[in-house]
Amino acid sequence: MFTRFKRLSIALIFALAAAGGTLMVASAQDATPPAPTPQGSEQDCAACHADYQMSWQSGLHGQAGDDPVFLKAWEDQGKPGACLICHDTGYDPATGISEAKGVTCLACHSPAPDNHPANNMPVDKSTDLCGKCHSDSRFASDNWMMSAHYQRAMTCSVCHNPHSAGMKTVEGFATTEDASSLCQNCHKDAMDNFPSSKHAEAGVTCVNCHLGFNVGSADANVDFADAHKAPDHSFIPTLETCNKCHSTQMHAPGQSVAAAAIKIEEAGGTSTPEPTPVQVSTLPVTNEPTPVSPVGYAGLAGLVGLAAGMVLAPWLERFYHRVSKQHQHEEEHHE
Amino acid sequence: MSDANFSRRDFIKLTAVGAAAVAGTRLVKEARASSSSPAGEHQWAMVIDQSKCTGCNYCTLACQAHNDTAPENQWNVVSEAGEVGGHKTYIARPCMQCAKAPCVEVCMVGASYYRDDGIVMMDYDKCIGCRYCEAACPYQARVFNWEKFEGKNPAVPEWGSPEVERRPRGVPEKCSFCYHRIDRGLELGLIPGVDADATPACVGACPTGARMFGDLNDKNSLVSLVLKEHASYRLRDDLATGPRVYYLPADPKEMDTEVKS
Repeated sequence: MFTRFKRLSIALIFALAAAGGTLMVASAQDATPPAPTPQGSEQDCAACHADYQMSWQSGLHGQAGDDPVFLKAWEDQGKPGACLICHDTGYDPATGISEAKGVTCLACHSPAPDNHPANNMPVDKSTDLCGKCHSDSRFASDNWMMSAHYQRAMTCSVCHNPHSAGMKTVEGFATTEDASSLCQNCHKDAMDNFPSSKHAEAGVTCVNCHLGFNVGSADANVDFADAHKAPDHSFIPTLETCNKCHSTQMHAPGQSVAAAAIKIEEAGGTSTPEPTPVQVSTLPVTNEPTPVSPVGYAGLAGLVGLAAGMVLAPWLERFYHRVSKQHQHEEEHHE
Repeated sequence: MSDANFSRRDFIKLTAVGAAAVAGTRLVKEARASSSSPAGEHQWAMVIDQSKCTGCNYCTLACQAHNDTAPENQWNVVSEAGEVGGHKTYIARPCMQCAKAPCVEVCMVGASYYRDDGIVMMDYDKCIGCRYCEAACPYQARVFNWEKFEGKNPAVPEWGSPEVERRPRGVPEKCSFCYHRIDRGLELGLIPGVDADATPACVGACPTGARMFGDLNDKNSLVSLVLKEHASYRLRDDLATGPRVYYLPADPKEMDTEVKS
């Protein structure tokens, strides 16, 4: 009978053999990631630019092609190709075929050079690129043209993150939790007085007055939750802006909006339509699984070998006894 | 006896050797004293217009992302610089890339050196971490890596992606005028100061166009033209360090917030 120690030793020998073999096979395989193909999908881009891919995927640009609200509205309207000019990448109206679904990397970074990463992926940082899609009056581009920002050659990406399609932020530095703190980055003079004002005390922020929704524009009947609807980017408050809160304090009866609001209030309704921010459910970000190192495979193989050794030990023992008995017999014959 | 053996010839020999040694030392000293950045084909310079700077810190964030610096080790610092015409002014301070840089002068192992284009560079492999350069710099452009920067850079990816390796522990680091962007840009046939990909990251990130970059050897570059047209100053010009960062002083007329149509 083998001792427990002998059995364990046999099992360990198996484990070592299995682990060593696996390590050799696993190490022999090329561990370098495949070279990205410039004309590939966003998965290829993510091989090197995972950060951008994650921020893009969870943002409005990443969801432009498969957002359920968009898909429903698109299907309800009979799947018009016009929507896909912006909601897909490289849509060809003649053939009705898109290069890719949704607003992918190549929607903005194209044409891709053959030898990327030796050559940079191109990108037009001017407002023209964003304007390819966001130039409709629904996006308040005419208001934007009026703004001092535009006239001083500021671009969309000064305030907006093109990848996440949200506002610019950074953790731990000049935090821009909402658009108002983004204003304060540059308009520091205004921030000398504003915090001690009645407005600030009442909780009013920059955007409450300077980034009003287009109340009273031609398509005011469009629902505020409509994703196509953008706030007024002229950043110029109007009398209507003041009237939102001060309609009853004015010397003269208020303007159209205030008058309408009072009428609605008298009728028992709420005075002003509350702009509801567009809520888009964030899709779970799928990350490529990190490759397991050869040592990991070898460890696993070692465990399997150990188990195999423990199971095989009794058979080995029987085999050993048979061989040693035969040997004894032969020795006896010789004697 | 030994005194007697010391012949006249020996005396002359000794004197000659001594004179040569003194002369040699003086020559070396002179060479060191006159050492300044060699004049290469390009001479990069930066112009910062204080009338346009709003102190938004976008330059700092872009620098932090592109050079992968720790948040406490900023290469580019923006600080308040008083009021002009009722408006706050700011001063953004990268490395001045001095033509006669105190940090290079004091470096005893040659870890700080000049490039042909005037950029003051750091060789992190040669550096022994004595921090003389840090103390010598009149602009406090250098920061020391007490620890290697580990973990996530909060400015990535929002403000850009890292383009250089993180520095090891125990070496000082500073703004490099994004030499890697300049070199790569030139290789690709781009013009630093004109093409954003070949220009320091802080220049491209500035929302108001307060930062300009270009070649002083090129008479038609933006920096050459701006410096010709406008009054400018450099920080601590009295120290004769020859900074390559020029400032256009804040002009109340240009700082009017109203846009003239």
